[in-house]
Amino acid sequence: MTQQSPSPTAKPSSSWIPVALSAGFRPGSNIRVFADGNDIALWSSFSGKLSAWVNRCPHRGMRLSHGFVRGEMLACIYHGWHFAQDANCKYIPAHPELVPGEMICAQAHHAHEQDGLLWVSCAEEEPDAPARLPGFGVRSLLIDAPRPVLAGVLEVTHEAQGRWELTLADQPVILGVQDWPEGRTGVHLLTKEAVSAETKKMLSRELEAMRRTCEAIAPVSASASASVPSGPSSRSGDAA
Amino acid sequence: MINEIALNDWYPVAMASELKPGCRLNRVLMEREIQISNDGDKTHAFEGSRVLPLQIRYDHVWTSLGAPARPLFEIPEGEQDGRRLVACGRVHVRCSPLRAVENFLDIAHFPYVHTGILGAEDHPEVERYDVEIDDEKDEVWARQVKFFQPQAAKSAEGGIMADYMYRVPAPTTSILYKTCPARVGEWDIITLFVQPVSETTCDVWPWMALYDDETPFNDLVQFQQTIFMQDRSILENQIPALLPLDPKMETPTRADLTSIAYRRWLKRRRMFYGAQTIAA
Ligand code: FES
Ligand SMILES: [Fe+2]
Repeated sequence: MTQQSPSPTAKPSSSWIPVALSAGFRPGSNIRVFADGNDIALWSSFSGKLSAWVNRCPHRGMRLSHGFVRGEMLACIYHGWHFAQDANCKYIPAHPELVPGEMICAQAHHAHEQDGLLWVSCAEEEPDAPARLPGFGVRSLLIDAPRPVLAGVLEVTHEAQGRWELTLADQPVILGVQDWPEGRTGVHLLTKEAVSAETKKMLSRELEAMRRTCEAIAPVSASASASVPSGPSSRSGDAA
Repeated sequence: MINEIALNDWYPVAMASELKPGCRLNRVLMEREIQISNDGDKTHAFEGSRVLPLQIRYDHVWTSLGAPARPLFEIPEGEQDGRRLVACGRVHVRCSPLRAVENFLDIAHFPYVHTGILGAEDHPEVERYDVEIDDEKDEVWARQVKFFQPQAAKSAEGGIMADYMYRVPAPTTSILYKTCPARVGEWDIITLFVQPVSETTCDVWPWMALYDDETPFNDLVQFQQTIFMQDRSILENQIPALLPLDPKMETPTRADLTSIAYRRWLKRRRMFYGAQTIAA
């Protein structure tokens, strides 16, 4: 039994990428996200501990984002191998008596929760936390247009560490921006202050209108680039 | 890259029942467009104007882009009297043809992927079984495979310890021999014929030869399709898409002996279409 070799798409990066809103990401959640072109399984244990792993089971390569959370472990959906917080495999159901060796493990990236966002970093060393900028999650959306198109459409007043500050329907908002493969962009909308459900609904409609504008400028067929070798063709993993 | 080995083999491209007089079927075999036509009394296969070899066996149409080095494998049990022959149609899967075969050889996934049908989560253990590469026949065999099944087949009720054998007579074909619930001492046969469309896509043609006179045809097909749809959700999400032949790429255990032998055998016979030969 050997350790899995590094993901073919792994690229180092120095920074944190906002990949999802904290709101709605409950203990037991497991979704597929991208950071720096890396396919990642982002999951939360029953006690709420967040992990971001290379989205590939060391056994037979199944995407771990299809797996299920059991207590403090993530189980792969193909053969049910269980991986603990330290990414080591603890249980191989086909051999219930076997204690798996330490070299059987998933590969971990860094995960962090702050200011209403979930963050991933693929850097070797865990980077310093992003600057404080509190926000209240409204909604995430996956847009069929690359980041520069969004930047052209929106009037961004300030930009730092993957967060854009701007005004949307007279509300000061924050947009976490995350590149997806094939020229897509995941956006995570937050307000700077707590707002009513009514305002959230209105902002959500504004965000959809923004998506339509961006997608009209950049139909995905034209913008689909070879940003990731064999990127996902399924859209089921809508930015949560 | 299509090497000679892949080119010179036989592949399924249609069901015999599709061959209506005057029909013309367009298919893709290893990225090449081919046509199957029937002029009323004979069936032909072409790539452009080039005539391809053709034969009809096991309810399917077989062809080759090259000069087949050996005859199509034999499935003697499939031609025994009294069996129901069931061609299940085509399932398109975005995965390597070799990953599709390997998944078919795997029992350890039953409790998680075919929960409540072919396996149960409280019976996940894979006992020791025998695997051999038969050099004389140039085939892979797994014998003495046992696994708990809550519902072994359409005609089975309640859980049983099912016995299996697996046979790989060609790189893109796998035959499963399984305890026959209706006739003690006999094996039901379920095969997977795989048509490589490209290195990362394939059409799968399941075919069964069963001792089962009772279950309606549609139920048999439906059962097989349900199982295969569950497999497809796995197959389209394995990384890398190509089957890794470098043993360092993935982490097998004793339950994967058939898969290990299959990969070794592919490497030995230099069947690399759909395989990853160098670690990425
Ligand atoms: S591929 Fe994950 S447990 Fe087998
Ligand atoms: Fe299966």
